[in-house]
Amino acid sequence: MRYADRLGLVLALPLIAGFALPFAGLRPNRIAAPVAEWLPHIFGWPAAAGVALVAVAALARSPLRLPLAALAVAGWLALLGLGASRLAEDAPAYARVSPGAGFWLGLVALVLLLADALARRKPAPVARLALLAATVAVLALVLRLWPDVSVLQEYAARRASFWAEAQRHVALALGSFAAAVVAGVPLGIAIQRTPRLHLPVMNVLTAIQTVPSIALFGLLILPLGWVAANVPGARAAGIGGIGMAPALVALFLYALLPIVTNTVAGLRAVPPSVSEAARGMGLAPRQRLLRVDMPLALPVILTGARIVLVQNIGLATIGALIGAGGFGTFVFQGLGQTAPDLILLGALPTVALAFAAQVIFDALIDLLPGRRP
Amino acid sequence: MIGLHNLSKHYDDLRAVDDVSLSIETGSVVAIVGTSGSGKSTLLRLVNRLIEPTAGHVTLNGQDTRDMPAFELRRRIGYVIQDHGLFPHWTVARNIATVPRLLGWPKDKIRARVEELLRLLSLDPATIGPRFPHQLSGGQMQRVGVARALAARPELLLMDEPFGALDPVLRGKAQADLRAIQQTLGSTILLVTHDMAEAIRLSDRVAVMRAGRVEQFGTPAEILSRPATAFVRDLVGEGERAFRFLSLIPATDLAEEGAASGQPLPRTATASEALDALIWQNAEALPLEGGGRISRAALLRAGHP
Amino acid sequence: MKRWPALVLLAAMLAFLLRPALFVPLLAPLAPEGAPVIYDRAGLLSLTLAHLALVAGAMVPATLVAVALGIFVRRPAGEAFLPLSRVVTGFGQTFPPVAVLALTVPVLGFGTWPTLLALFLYGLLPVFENTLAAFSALPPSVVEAARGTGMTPRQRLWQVELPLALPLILDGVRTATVISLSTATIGSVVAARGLGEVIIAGLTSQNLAFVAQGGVLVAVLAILLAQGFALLSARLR
Repeated sequence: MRYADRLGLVLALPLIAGFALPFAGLRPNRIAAPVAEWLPHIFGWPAAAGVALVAVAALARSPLRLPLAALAVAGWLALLGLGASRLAEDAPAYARVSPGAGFWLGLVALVLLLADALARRKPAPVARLALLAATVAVLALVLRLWPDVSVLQEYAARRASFWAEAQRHVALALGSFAAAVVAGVPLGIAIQRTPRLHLPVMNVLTAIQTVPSIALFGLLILPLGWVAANVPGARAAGIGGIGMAPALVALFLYALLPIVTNTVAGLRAVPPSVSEAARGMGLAPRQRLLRVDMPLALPVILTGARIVLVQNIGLATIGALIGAGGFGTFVFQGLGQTAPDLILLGALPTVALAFAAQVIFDALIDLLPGRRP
Repeated sequence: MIGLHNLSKHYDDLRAVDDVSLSIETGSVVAIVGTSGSGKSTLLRLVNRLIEPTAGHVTLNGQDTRDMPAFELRRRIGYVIQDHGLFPHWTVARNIATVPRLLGWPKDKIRARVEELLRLLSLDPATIGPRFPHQLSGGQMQRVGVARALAARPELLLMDEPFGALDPVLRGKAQADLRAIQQTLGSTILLVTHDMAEAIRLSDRVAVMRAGRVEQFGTPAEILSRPATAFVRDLVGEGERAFRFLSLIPATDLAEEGAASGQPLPRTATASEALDALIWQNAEALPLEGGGRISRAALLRAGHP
Repeated sequence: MKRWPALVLLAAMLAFLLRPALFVPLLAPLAPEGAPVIYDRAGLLSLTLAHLALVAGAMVPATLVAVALGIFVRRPAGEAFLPLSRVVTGFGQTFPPVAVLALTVPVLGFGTWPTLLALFLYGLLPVFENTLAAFSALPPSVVEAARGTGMTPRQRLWQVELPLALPLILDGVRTATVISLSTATIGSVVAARGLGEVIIAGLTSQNLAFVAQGGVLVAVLAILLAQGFALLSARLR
């Protein structure tokens, strides 16, 4: 066990599968069955051996694991792009190169290796933000090598609508998030102060959570359609039975529970001695809330906010089912057309967005004054 | 007889226990006293191999404990800890039956043993036995912890600050009870405490530990009268030395012929209790139950080494 | 905890499943003129059972695997995987259920299997997280006592650690089951049989009566199951 640890040994399995299974699939057209292509076949044996060497070096127990794993992930992604271009050279114009099982397994192994190496270093919040920025920059560079990978071809075919849906997705997630924070925090404070309200409010919010998202989105069509038809100016303001309005309201409703729960939990966790001391020093109730209770409860409230933002980014995909747009549009189109690349075009940015939101929020929480990492 | 032979436990540069050798006579109580971080708890846990030593070994009645699986060794050694560690999901009776069950005793033998132990610790088997730990008082939990450790008639009882969680009033009573039980059963006990007074009151021999080493190993009287190092002297303390010394002597040892007036002293009293009674009743001498008397002069003579 | 609201809910649900006609007046205002009020392409009872079977089929193996993994990473043999498993559970939540579902379709095709796999994967995280938390929350003195009394590692696990960790693990299973009941509805997008079918049919035919009956049925199932779990874990504590 001097040269390898258990993690490296276990992750070697998917990595070996990454070499043994098809690295990419070449399809004569968008929805045809793929023809498997192996890594050595695409790049030749010497190049494949070189790649294997870097991967093995990253698996070995060494202080260089972090940089090696980072290099291996970036390299693995670049290989797919380069390989796709090679395969596309001798293929008909409508041919598509999509990632194969080998690529995915290898990627998972290398990303897990990288995640482990990072987790063990316990980077400080600022370092985590810097790492996120660096990841985005590297991805942007690597994606330039991907013009012939099918996902990017789907992207190229609908560049304009992609960014429009991206905007709608972010607007849905952030808009409902902001509304939930603005409404949820005061609601949390209110029910913390009026215990009589606590149970009924929590019961209603919990019941909302149990309604499946597609049903809640659908059910809101009716009341909002009524508002659009009967409230003057509502339609002009963009409120309608179909589209963004019911999605925004549904996401807002789902978001309330975590925000309210965490606001109450945060306020409850303020040590009674601290509250008492604030009272003893003559702080008025409002001053106590703003200067003592809220700052102390903030990390817990922000954790609730983080949960909500990540959850809303994911749930916003459902909005596509009722015409609210967002990345879900591509996911459901892709499902309808049995086009995996289109599914990926919707799913991957959603995951990336949620991931980035989590990293940024976690770092912000850790950066709050008085927090020890 | 239990033997600790050159036991050491090192964590990197830290020598938690450093070359400790002790022997514990069968039927005797040995207390390990030290400040926190002195390695006393580590030493205790080396004995039942909750921690494996870096060097050295333990013998249990002549048998090298390295030669048996750790879990089998632990079933032969009772273990009492400060927070009792009672299993919260089991009743008191089931808790006490832990080791006998692990050893596969027959059911009725276990039931009889549990009942016997509850009685021994003055707990009512009918009412306390079926209760769950969270329904007990602190003192009851402590006694159940002791009963569980004694259940399978262990060859050695290890106790790590067994009275640490009790308030001072309960602690005195629990200490007296333990000494009585130990004398009835003839148990061999190795006990860890930070309280020198407790060690002196309870044990036949005291080992004073500091920084992983034993500074002095001797009878309570020796520790009180001839502390080997400045550290031991500090731990014993300057105050009340005479009273502690007297507390080691049974009043009957100082009895003389003759009679005295006043309330008679019980035969189990210590010399320190006798002196207390004399001062309180402002008497020159007090009668001893069953004949004889104790005089103030005899007590003053005995109050120093 | 009062039991009667749950019992009323259960009775109402059974009445609806067995005699849906009784509820027509309630739902009729939501249905378009002339359209059916009660979903008629399949029996609601059989769809409800299929829905439950889907969730159970995913949650039972997910619970077993997640608890086993949670125990494994806390043993010496699995310690090497603890930091990574924390990262994966932390960031696993960032994968939205739709994405997980959609991404399993290319591998497994349409039907029940991708939904089952997605629900399984999505169910692992809360159970695993709670298993880890439950084992970390064991009172150290009790763990020490279990070792000190001479239990073998296996005896410690089965007789002491697992029984004490169970209520918290059950809370994780409850969370995962409620999420999974709701996520299973999305499975109908990829043709898994369940109550999602009713909701999707309602969305595509603009029949909100379908959306309401499907959605409310799932919500009631979730509330009843959550209550059941709460009852069970209260009994274990």
